[in-house]
Amino acid sequence: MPGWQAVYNELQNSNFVVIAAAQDTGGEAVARQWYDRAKADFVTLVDENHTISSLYNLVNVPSAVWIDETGQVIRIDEGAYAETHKMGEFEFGRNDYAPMVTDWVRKGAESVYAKGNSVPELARTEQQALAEPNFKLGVYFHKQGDAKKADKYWAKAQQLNPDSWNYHRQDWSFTPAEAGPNWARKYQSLGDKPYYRPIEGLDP
Amino acid sequence: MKYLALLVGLPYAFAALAGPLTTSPPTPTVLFQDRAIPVATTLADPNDLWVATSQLTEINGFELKEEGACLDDICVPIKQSEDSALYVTRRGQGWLSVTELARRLSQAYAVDHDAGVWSFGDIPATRNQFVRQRVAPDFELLDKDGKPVRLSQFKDMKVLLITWASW
Repeated sequence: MPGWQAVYNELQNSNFVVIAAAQDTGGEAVARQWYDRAKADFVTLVDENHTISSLYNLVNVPSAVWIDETGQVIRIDEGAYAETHKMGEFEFGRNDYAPMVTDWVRKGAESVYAKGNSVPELARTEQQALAEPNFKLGVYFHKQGDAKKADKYWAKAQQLNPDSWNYHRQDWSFTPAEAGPNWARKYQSLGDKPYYRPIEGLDP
Repeated sequence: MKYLALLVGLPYAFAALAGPLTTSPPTPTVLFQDRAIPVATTLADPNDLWVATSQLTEINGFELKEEGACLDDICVPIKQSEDSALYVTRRGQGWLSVTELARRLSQAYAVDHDAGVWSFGDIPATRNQFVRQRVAPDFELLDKDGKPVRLSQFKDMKVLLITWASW
Protein backbone atom coordinates (compact mmCIF):
# COMPACT_ATOMS: atom_id res chain seq x y z
CA MET A 1 0.00 0.00 0.00
CA PRO A 2 2.76 2.55 0.81
CA GLY A 3 4.24 1.56 -2.55
CA TRP A 4 1.08 2.48 -4.42
CA GLN A 5 0.83 5.72 -2.43
CA ALA A 6 4.31 6.62 -3.72
CA VAL A 7 3.21 5.88 -7.29
CA TYR A 8 0.10 7.97 -6.77
CA ASN A 9 2.11 10.88 -5.32
CA GLU A 10 4.21 10.91 -8.44
CA LEU A 11 1.29 10.71 -10.87
CA GLN A 12 -1.67 12.36 -9.24
CA ASN A 13 -1.46 15.39 -11.52
CA SER A 14 -1.59 13.13 -14.57
CA ASN A 15 -5.37 12.65 -14.64
CA PHE A 16 -4.89 9.40 -12.78
CA VAL A 17 -6.48 7.83 -9.74
CA VAL A 18 -5.79 4.74 -7.65
CA ILE A 19 -8.88 2.96 -6.31
CA ALA A 20 -8.02 0.37 -3.69
CA ALA A 21 -10.67 -2.07 -2.49
CA ALA A 22 -10.17 -4.16 0.65
CA GLN A 23 -11.60 -7.64 0.00
CA ASP A 24 -12.32 -7.99 3.68
CA THR A 25 -15.40 -9.42 5.31
CA GLY A 26 -14.19 -7.75 8.51
CA GLY A 27 -15.01 -4.43 6.85
CA GLU A 28 -13.82 -1.01 7.87
CA ALA A 29 -12.67 -2.28 11.28
CA VAL A 30 -9.85 -4.28 9.72
CA ALA A 31 -9.22 -2.25 6.55
CA ARG A 32 -8.84 1.23 7.97
CA GLN A 33 -5.61 0.69 9.89
CA TRP A 34 -3.82 -0.41 6.71
CA TYR A 35 -5.05 2.62 4.80
CA ASP A 36 -4.10 4.90 7.69
CA ARG A 37 -0.67 3.36 8.11
CA ALA A 38 0.06 3.87 4.40
CA LYS A 39 -1.30 7.45 4.67
CA ALA A 40 -3.32 6.56 1.59
CA ASP A 41 -5.00 9.59 0.06
CA PHE A 42 -6.35 7.86 -3.02
CA VAL A 43 -9.76 6.18 -3.04
CA THR A 44 -9.89 3.66 -0.20
CA LEU A 45 -12.84 1.28 -0.48
CA VAL A 46 -14.11 -1.40 1.87
CA ASP A 47 -15.52 -4.39 0.02
CA GLU A 48 -16.93 -6.89 2.52
CA ASN A 49 -18.61 -9.06 -0.12
CA HIS A 50 -15.62 -9.13 -2.51
CA THR A 51 -17.86 -7.38 -5.04
CA ILE A 52 -14.95 -6.15 -7.17
CA SER A 53 -13.32 -9.58 -7.32
CA SER A 54 -16.48 -11.25 -8.56
CA LEU A 55 -17.39 -8.41 -10.94
CA TYR A 56 -13.92 -8.42 -12.54
CA ASN A 57 -13.20 -12.17 -12.18
CA LEU A 58 -10.26 -11.59 -9.83
CA VAL A 59 -9.23 -14.67 -7.87
CA ASN A 60 -6.39 -13.49 -5.67
CA VAL A 61 -5.02 -10.42 -3.94
CA PRO A 62 -3.45 -8.12 -4.74
CA SER A 63 -4.93 -7.88 -8.22
CA ALA A 64 -5.01 -4.94 -10.58
CA VAL A 65 -7.23 -3.67 -13.36
CA TRP A 66 -6.07 -0.86 -15.63
CA ILE A 67 -8.99 1.21 -16.93
CA ASP A 68 -8.41 3.96 -19.47
CA GLU A 69 -10.20 7.31 -19.90
CA THR A 70 -12.91 5.72 -22.05
CA GLY A 71 -13.71 3.04 -19.49
CA GLN A 72 -11.88 0.35 -21.43
CA VAL A 73 -10.08 -2.41 -19.54
CA ILE A 74 -6.43 -2.37 -20.66
CA ARG A 75 -4.95 -4.99 -18.36
CA ILE A 76 -6.62 -7.20 -15.78
CA ASP A 77 -5.99 -9.82 -13.14
CA GLU A 78 -2.32 -9.27 -12.43
CA GLY A 79 -0.60 -9.70 -9.07
CA ALA A 80 -0.31 -5.99 -8.43
CA TYR A 81 2.60 -5.60 -6.06
CA ALA A 82 4.11 -2.13 -5.98
CA GLU A 83 7.30 -3.40 -4.36
CA THR A 84 8.91 -6.44 -2.78
CA HIS A 85 8.19 -7.21 0.86
CA LYS A 86 10.10 -9.23 3.42
CA MET A 87 8.38 -11.41 5.99
CA GLY A 88 11.27 -12.91 7.92
CA GLU A 89 13.12 -15.14 5.45
CA PHE A 90 10.21 -15.07 3.06
CA GLU A 91 10.26 -12.50 0.26
CA PHE A 92 7.26 -11.71 -1.90
CA GLY A 93 6.07 -9.04 -4.27
CA ARG A 94 7.99 -7.44 -7.14
CA ASN A 95 9.57 -4.12 -8.10
CA ASP A 96 9.02 -4.27 -11.85
CA TYR A 97 5.23 -3.84 -11.99
CA ALA A 98 4.81 -0.28 -10.67
CA PRO A 99 7.11 1.16 -13.40
CA MET A 100 4.75 -0.40 -15.98
CA VAL A 101 1.84 1.50 -14.46
CA THR A 102 3.85 4.73 -14.48
CA ASP A 103 4.74 4.22 -18.12
CA TRP A 104 1.10 3.67 -19.07
CA VAL A 105 -0.14 6.70 -17.13
CA ARG A 106 2.47 8.90 -18.84
CA LYS A 107 2.17 7.52 -22.38
CA GLY A 108 -1.36 6.16 -22.51
CA ALA A 109 -2.16 4.00 -25.53
CA GLU A 110 1.42 4.51 -26.77
CA SER A 111 2.86 2.66 -23.77
CA VAL A 112 4.28 -0.73 -24.74
CA TYR A 113 2.44 -2.13 -21.73
CA ALA A 114 -0.93 -1.01 -23.10
CA LYS A 115 -0.32 -2.24 -26.63
CA GLY A 116 -1.41 -5.62 -27.86
CA ASN A 117 -1.56 -7.32 -24.49
CA SER A 118 -4.19 -9.99 -24.24
CA VAL A 119 -7.07 -9.78 -21.81
CA PRO A 120 -8.08 -13.22 -20.51
CA GLU A 121 -11.50 -14.76 -21.13
CA LEU A 122 -13.98 -12.68 -19.12
CA ALA A 123 -17.07 -14.88 -19.41
CA ARG A 124 -17.84 -16.86 -16.28
CA THR A 125 -18.97 -20.45 -16.12
CA GLU A 126 -22.33 -21.14 -14.48
CA GLN A 127 -20.48 -22.59 -11.51
CA GLN A 128 -18.30 -19.52 -11.08
CA ALA A 129 -21.38 -17.30 -11.30
CA LEU A 130 -23.16 -19.37 -8.65
CA ALA A 131 -20.18 -19.18 -6.29
CA GLU A 132 -20.75 -15.45 -5.80
CA PRO A 133 -24.24 -15.52 -4.17
CA ASN A 134 -23.10 -18.44 -2.00
CA PHE A 135 -20.06 -16.51 -0.82
CA LYS A 136 -22.29 -13.54 0.00
CA LEU A 137 -24.60 -15.77 2.06
CA GLY A 138 -21.49 -16.83 3.99
CA VAL A 139 -20.57 -13.18 4.61
CA TYR A 140 -24.12 -12.46 5.76
CA PHE A 141 -24.13 -15.30 8.29
CA HIS A 142 -20.58 -14.53 9.42
CA LYS A 143 -21.70 -11.00 10.25
CA GLN A 144 -24.71 -12.44 12.10
CA GLY A 145 -22.29 -14.46 14.24
CA ASP A 146 -23.45 -17.78 12.73
CA ALA A 147 -20.09 -19.42 12.00
CA LYS A 148 -21.64 -22.77 11.13
CA LYS A 149 -23.79 -21.39 8.36
CA ALA A 150 -20.99 -19.11 7.16
CA ASP A 151 -18.79 -22.19 6.78
CA LYS A 152 -21.49 -24.06 4.91
CA TYR A 153 -21.89 -21.37 2.25
CA TRP A 154 -18.19 -20.55 2.03
CA ALA A 155 -17.46 -24.24 1.47
CA LYS A 156 -20.05 -24.24 -1.30
CA ALA A 157 -18.48 -21.13 -2.91
CA GLN A 158 -15.04 -22.76 -2.76
CA GLN A 159 -16.38 -25.94 -4.33
CA LEU A 160 -18.06 -23.96 -7.14
CA ASN A 161 -15.04 -21.76 -7.82
CA PRO A 162 -11.96 -23.68 -6.64
CA ASP A 163 -9.65 -21.25 -8.47
CA SER A 164 -10.64 -18.39 -6.19
CA TRP A 165 -7.92 -17.95 -3.59
CA ASN A 166 -10.01 -15.13 -2.16
CA TYR A 167 -12.90 -17.43 -1.24
CA HIS A 168 -10.49 -19.79 0.47
CA ARG A 169 -8.17 -17.33 2.16
CA GLN A 170 -10.98 -15.16 3.55
CA ASP A 171 -12.52 -18.25 5.14
CA TRP A 172 -9.18 -19.51 6.52
CA SER A 173 -8.46 -16.11 8.06
CA PHE A 174 -11.02 -16.85 10.78
CA THR A 175 -9.12 -19.97 11.90
CA PRO A 176 -5.55 -18.56 11.92
CA ALA A 177 -3.96 -21.75 13.29
CA GLU A 178 -5.03 -23.71 10.21
CA ALA A 179 -4.61 -20.92 7.67
CA GLY A 180 -0.91 -21.59 6.99
CA PRO A 181 -1.21 -25.36 6.46
CA ASN A 182 -4.41 -24.88 4.41
CA TRP A 183 -2.65 -22.39 2.18
CA ALA A 184 0.43 -24.59 1.78
CA ARG A 185 -1.73 -27.58 0.84
CA LYS A 186 -3.65 -25.69 -1.82
CA TYR A 187 -0.50 -23.98 -3.08
CA GLN A 188 1.20 -27.34 -3.57
CA SER A 189 -1.83 -28.70 -5.39
CA LEU A 190 -1.31 -26.01 -8.06
CA GLY A 191 1.44 -28.11 -9.62
CA ASP A 192 2.51 -26.25 -12.76
CA LYS A 193 -0.26 -23.68 -12.55
CA PRO A 194 0.91 -20.22 -11.42
CA TYR A 195 -0.25 -18.60 -8.18
CA TYR A 196 -0.69 -15.31 -10.01
CA ARG A 197 -1.39 -15.08 -13.72
CA PRO A 198 1.94 -14.37 -15.48
CA ILE A 199 2.38 -10.67 -16.23
CA GLU A 200 2.62 -10.06 -19.96
CA GLY A 201 5.72 -8.09 -20.85
CA LEU A 202 7.50 -9.18 -17.66
CA ASP A 203 7.05 -12.89 -17.08
CA PRO A 204 7.91 -15.68 -19.50
CA MET B 1 -33.25 -9.84 44.33
CA LYS B 2 -36.90 -9.76 43.44
CA TYR B 3 -36.08 -7.56 40.44
CA LEU B 4 -33.34 -9.90 39.34
CA ALA B 5 -35.78 -12.82 39.34
CA LEU B 6 -38.13 -10.70 37.30
CA LEU B 7 -35.39 -9.91 34.78
CA VAL B 8 -34.36 -13.55 34.52
CA GLY B 9 -37.97 -14.53 33.95
CA LEU B 10 -38.49 -11.93 31.26
CA PRO B 11 -36.93 -13.78 28.30
CA TYR B 12 -39.09 -16.81 29.08
CA ALA B 13 -42.18 -14.65 29.02
CA PHE B 14 -41.15 -13.34 25.60
CA ALA B 15 -40.32 -16.84 24.39
CA ALA B 16 -43.80 -17.96 25.43
CA LEU B 17 -45.31 -15.04 23.55
CA ALA B 18 -43.20 -15.79 20.49
CA GLY B 19 -44.07 -19.49 20.66
CA PRO B 20 -47.11 -19.64 18.40
CA LEU B 21 -45.40 -17.42 15.84
CA THR B 22 -42.37 -19.62 15.22
CA THR B 23 -44.08 -21.57 12.44
CA SER B 24 -44.50 -18.47 10.27
CA PRO B 25 -41.57 -17.87 7.90
CA PRO B 26 -38.99 -15.20 8.76
CA THR B 27 -39.19 -11.83 7.05
CA PRO B 28 -37.15 -12.38 3.88
CA THR B 29 -33.90 -10.55 3.24
CA VAL B 30 -32.45 -10.03 -0.23
CA LEU B 31 -28.68 -9.78 -0.79
CA PHE B 32 -27.84 -8.06 -4.05
CA GLN B 33 -24.61 -6.34 -5.03
CA ASP B 34 -23.29 -4.89 -1.78
CA ARG B 35 -26.65 -4.46 -0.06
CA ALA B 36 -28.93 -6.41 2.30
CA ILE B 37 -32.55 -5.40 1.72
CA PRO B 38 -35.42 -6.45 4.02
CA VAL B 39 -38.46 -7.51 2.00
CA ALA B 40 -41.37 -5.45 3.29
CA THR B 41 -44.13 -7.88 2.39
CA THR B 42 -44.31 -11.15 0.47
CA LEU B 43 -46.58 -14.02 -0.64
CA ALA B 44 -46.31 -17.45 0.96
CA ASP B 45 -44.41 -19.74 -1.41
CA PRO B 46 -41.97 -22.50 -0.41
CA ASN B 47 -39.82 -22.14 -3.54
CA ASP B 48 -39.98 -18.62 -4.88
CA LEU B 49 -39.63 -15.10 -3.58
CA TRP B 50 -42.43 -12.70 -4.41
CA VAL B 51 -42.13 -8.97 -3.86
CA ALA B 52 -44.73 -6.24 -4.21
CA THR B 53 -44.18 -4.38 -7.47
CA SER B 54 -43.75 -1.20 -5.41
CA GLN B 55 -40.55 -2.66 -3.88
CA LEU B 56 -39.12 -4.14 -7.08
CA THR B 57 -36.74 -1.27 -7.90
CA GLU B 58 -35.33 -1.24 -4.38
CA ILE B 59 -34.72 -5.00 -4.57
CA ASN B 60 -32.91 -5.36 -7.91
CA GLY B 61 -33.07 -2.09 -9.85
CA PHE B 62 -35.81 -3.30 -12.22
CA GLU B 63 -38.81 -1.13 -13.00
CA LEU B 64 -42.25 -2.43 -13.86
CA LYS B 65 -43.38 -0.90 -17.14
CA GLU B 66 -46.24 -1.58 -19.52
CA GLU B 67 -44.07 -3.96 -21.55
CA GLY B 68 -42.52 -5.78 -18.61
CA ALA B 69 -39.82 -5.62 -15.96
CA CYS B 70 -37.00 -3.47 -17.29
CA LEU B 71 -33.48 -2.44 -16.31
CA ASP B 72 -31.87 0.00 -18.77
CA ASP B 73 -32.17 -1.79 -22.12
CA ILE B 74 -32.99 -5.23 -20.63
CA CYS B 75 -36.74 -5.97 -20.60
CA VAL B 76 -38.45 -9.18 -19.52
CA PRO B 77 -41.98 -9.18 -21.01
CA ILE B 78 -44.88 -9.41 -18.55
CA LYS B 79 -48.60 -9.55 -19.23
CA GLN B 80 -50.04 -7.86 -16.15
CA SER B 81 -53.66 -8.71 -17.00
CA GLU B 82 -53.20 -12.39 -16.14
CA ASP B 83 -51.35 -14.50 -13.59
CA SER B 84 -48.11 -16.18 -14.60
CA ALA B 85 -45.04 -17.72 -12.97
CA LEU B 86 -43.54 -14.23 -13.03
CA TYR B 87 -46.45 -12.00 -12.06
CA VAL B 88 -49.69 -12.34 -10.10
CA THR B 89 -52.37 -10.02 -8.76
CA ARG B 90 -53.24 -10.74 -5.10
CA ARG B 91 -54.74 -8.65 -2.31
CA GLY B 92 -55.55 -5.98 -4.86
CA GLN B 93 -51.96 -5.44 -5.99
CA GLY B 94 -49.30 -6.81 -8.34
CA TRP B 95 -46.52 -9.17 -7.17
CA LEU B 96 -43.42 -10.22 -9.01
CA SER B 97 -41.40 -13.38 -8.51
CA VAL B 98 -37.81 -12.14 -8.35
CA THR B 99 -36.55 -15.74 -8.44
CA GLU B 100 -38.45 -16.45 -11.67
CA LEU B 101 -37.11 -13.16 -13.04
CA ALA B 102 -33.60 -14.32 -12.09
CA ARG B 103 -34.09 -17.65 -13.87
CA ARG B 104 -35.23 -15.89 -17.04
CA LEU B 105 -32.14 -13.65 -16.85
CA SER B 106 -29.84 -16.61 -16.10
CA GLN B 107 -28.96 -14.72 -12.91
CA ALA B 108 -27.46 -17.03 -10.28
CA TYR B 109 -28.99 -17.07 -6.81
CA ALA B 110 -28.68 -19.07 -3.63
CA VAL B 111 -31.09 -19.20 -0.73
CA ASP B 112 -31.08 -20.12 2.93
CA HIS B 113 -34.73 -21.05 3.46
CA ASP B 114 -34.52 -21.35 7.24
CA ALA B 115 -33.33 -17.78 7.64
CA GLY B 116 -35.23 -16.49 4.61
CA VAL B 117 -32.11 -15.01 3.01
CA TRP B 118 -32.08 -14.81 -0.80
CA SER B 119 -28.71 -14.00 -2.30
CA PHE B 120 -28.55 -12.89 -5.94
CA GLY B 121 -25.51 -12.76 -8.21
CA ASP B 122 -24.78 -10.26 -10.95
CA ILE B 123 -27.20 -10.08 -13.87
CA PRO B 124 -25.33 -11.61 -16.85
CA ALA B 125 -26.81 -9.12 -19.34
CA THR B 126 -25.24 -6.24 -17.39
CA ARG B 127 -21.83 -7.90 -17.90
CA ASN B 128 -22.13 -8.29 -21.68
CA GLN B 129 -20.20 -5.13 -22.47
CA PHE B 130 -17.46 -6.24 -20.13
CA VAL B 131 -17.24 -9.78 -21.47
CA ARG B 132 -17.47 -8.85 -25.15
CA GLN B 133 -15.95 -5.37 -25.35
CA ARG B 134 -13.89 -5.11 -22.17
CA VAL B 135 -15.88 -2.16 -20.84
CA ALA B 136 -15.16 -1.83 -17.12
CA PRO B 137 -18.35 -2.64 -15.20
CA ASP B 138 -19.50 0.10 -12.83
CA PHE B 139 -19.90 -0.52 -9.09
CA GLU B 140 -20.77 1.34 -5.96
CA LEU B 141 -19.02 0.67 -2.65
CA LEU B 142 -18.45 2.59 0.57
CA ASP B 143 -15.04 4.04 1.31
CA LYS B 144 -13.41 3.71 4.73
CA ASP B 145 -15.35 6.76 5.95
CA GLY B 146 -18.68 5.33 4.81
CA LYS B 147 -18.98 7.54 1.75
CA PRO B 148 -20.43 5.86 -1.37
CA VAL B 149 -18.05 5.84 -4.35
CA ARG B 150 -18.86 4.81 -7.91
CA LEU B 151 -16.32 3.91 -10.59
CA SER B 152 -18.22 6.11 -13.05
CA GLN B 153 -17.23 9.19 -11.00
CA PHE B 154 -13.75 8.79 -12.49
CA LYS B 155 -14.74 8.86 -16.13
CA ASP B 156 -12.14 10.62 -18.28
CA MET B 157 -9.34 9.55 -15.93
CA LYS B 158 -6.98 6.61 -15.96
CA VAL B 159 -7.84 4.27 -13.10
CA LEU B 160 -5.67 1.70 -11.39
CA LEU B 161 -8.14 -0.50 -9.54
CA ILE B 162 -6.38 -2.69 -6.98
CA THR B 163 -7.78 -5.29 -4.67
CA TRP B 164 -6.00 -6.21 -1.48
CA ALA B 165 -6.84 -7.81 1.86
CA SER B 166 -5.65 -7.86 5.45
CA TRP B 167 -5.71 -11.68 5.53
